[in-house]
Amino acid sequence: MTPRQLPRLLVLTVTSVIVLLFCFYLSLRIGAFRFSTSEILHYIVTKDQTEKSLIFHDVRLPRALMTMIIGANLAVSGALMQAVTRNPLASPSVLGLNAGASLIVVFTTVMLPGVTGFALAGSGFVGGLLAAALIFFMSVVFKGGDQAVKIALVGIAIQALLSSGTQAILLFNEESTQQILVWLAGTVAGTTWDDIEVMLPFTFIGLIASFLAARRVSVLALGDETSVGLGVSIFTTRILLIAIVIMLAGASVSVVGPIGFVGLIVPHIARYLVGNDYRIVLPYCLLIGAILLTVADISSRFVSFPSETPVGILTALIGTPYFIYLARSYKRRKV
Amino acid sequence: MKSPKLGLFAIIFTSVLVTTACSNQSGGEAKGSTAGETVAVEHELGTTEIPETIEKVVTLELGITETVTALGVNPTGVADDDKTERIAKSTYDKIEGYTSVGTRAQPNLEVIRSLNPDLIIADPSRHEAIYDELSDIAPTIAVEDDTADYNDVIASTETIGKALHKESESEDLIENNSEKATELKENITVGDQTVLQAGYNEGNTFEVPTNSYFLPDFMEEKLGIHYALENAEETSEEMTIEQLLQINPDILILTVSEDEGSSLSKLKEDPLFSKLKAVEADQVYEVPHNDWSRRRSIPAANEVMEAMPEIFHEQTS
Repeated sequence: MTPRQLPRLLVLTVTSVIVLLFCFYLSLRIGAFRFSTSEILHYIVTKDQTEKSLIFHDVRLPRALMTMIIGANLAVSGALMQAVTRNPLASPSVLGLNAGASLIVVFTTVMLPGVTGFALAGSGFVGGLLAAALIFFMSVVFKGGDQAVKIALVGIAIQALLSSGTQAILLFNEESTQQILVWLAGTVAGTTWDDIEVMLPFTFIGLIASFLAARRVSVLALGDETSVGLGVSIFTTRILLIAIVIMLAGASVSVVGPIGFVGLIVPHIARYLVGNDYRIVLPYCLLIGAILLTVADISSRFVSFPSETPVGILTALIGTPYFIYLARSYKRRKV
Repeated sequence: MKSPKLGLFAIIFTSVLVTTACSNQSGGEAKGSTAGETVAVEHELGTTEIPETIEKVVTLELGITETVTALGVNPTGVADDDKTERIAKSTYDKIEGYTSVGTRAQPNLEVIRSLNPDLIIADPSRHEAIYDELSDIAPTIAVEDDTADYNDVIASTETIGKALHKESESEDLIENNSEKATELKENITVGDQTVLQAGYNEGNTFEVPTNSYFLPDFMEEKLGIHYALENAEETSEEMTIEQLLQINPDILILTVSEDEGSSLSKLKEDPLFSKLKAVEADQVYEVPHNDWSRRRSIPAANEVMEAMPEIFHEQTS
């Protein structure tokens, strides 16, 4: 960071924080019940047992907070994955977290219908963890080639394999899995304070660890030889970063379901705005990820207002064209 | 893993095997329709010539299976998702010994062919893509069931009656159901109270059928009940407790899956749930999800009606 960039960064940061606060305000305000600005300010400091107060404190507030937490987690872990694989089109799903969690959650719902709530989320986390471990292990064991490329390729293959398993279970157990379809699309509707309590430790540890590792991430993104030359151990850095991604994205997926594209898009927006220094990119991913998912969640409420539409469908709607644009622009740059 | 390359090979090989095994057998030689008189029956996917005598029928939706059985023909092949408990007991007792043709979403065409049926009854929203393959096996008609409202089910029952040459039986079935409904309507006293049906989901949301769904539509049309959620396009909506509170029905019917515990016991602790009018007035009822949501047929409506007097009783306040 050069001193010349500082004023620009300051403006960007202040703008992002203001936009985030405004999104937070909209997220609290919009829904089946009407809340005026003065009511929001009133309820944010006081809580009573009236219907509106309860809706504000038990429905709106946890959902708005959860959306920001998940957006931040997915965006930061997306940036880490793109550095680990040195692939601009990578995202946490390349590590098989979404596919692994989905498979185990769907499997558990069918085989052990009694398992619900946090036990189910826990099984999802284990599923994501196993998939990520398997992908990393295979990318290490397979000889030859660049490890960054191998993680991405093995990841895509395993992810496809796991997804086909999920599809098979869904196909053969149509009615039993109906309850889980909303989770599979990725949704923040119905978030409780208990969900937030589960997410917070993973989020804090994961985000702080990623900021502490930011310098290593920047170096890793430069390439294996450069990293070694600069005294950064590639292998341990990769393992460390993957562990952080599992913490952030794995926990997110198991609580709200697989929400795609946030982890893919946001790092690009962040790098476009502030360059390639991950010490700055990562905090910006946090801000922009929170903004993007909150905007997506607010938009999702209008699809069939006042009913819910899973936010994962909205992010896919925004994300798919952007993904195609990214893929095309990289192809052009190479030619 | 001795050799990583070998391992990868094994994975690819297995996947290929599985894919091949799972892919549909299509094509094959057409089965000539048996000689003799045929009757033309109009249905959702066209008009089909159906032989005059029908012995073996394959049904590919749960509601269709119930209707066919209620008309006095026990289907030979049934798409039961390989789970016999999906079929309502009243129907199952009559058709026990049938051959399962697999899932409704992807019925096994080979098994259907091996049964050598005279008639296949499918659902347009589920089976349109395989309609030609099915027609290749036997004359096939398609009637609404999966996304049917009450009038769709009436139309489907009439079409099935025609196809089975049991038109008077199907008229009786519909007539009898109507009479039962009229009788029930006189005995319940819900007045202007609004009614809503909902299923509590994993993830703290509610799946709420709209008045375009079979049972809510039936309650509205035949029992004069004020159903609280109108939507002409969608058969169900996803809601949180907030939207439920906004609708705030007088009577809440919670559907519970057979393999889940009581939803009420989970919801009791939610202070917002206890703000619902229905909860305050003690008018929340738990009913089996299978009967109230998955079954869409006249026999299902008849059976559900038996549980209704208790729910739509006079409010003593």
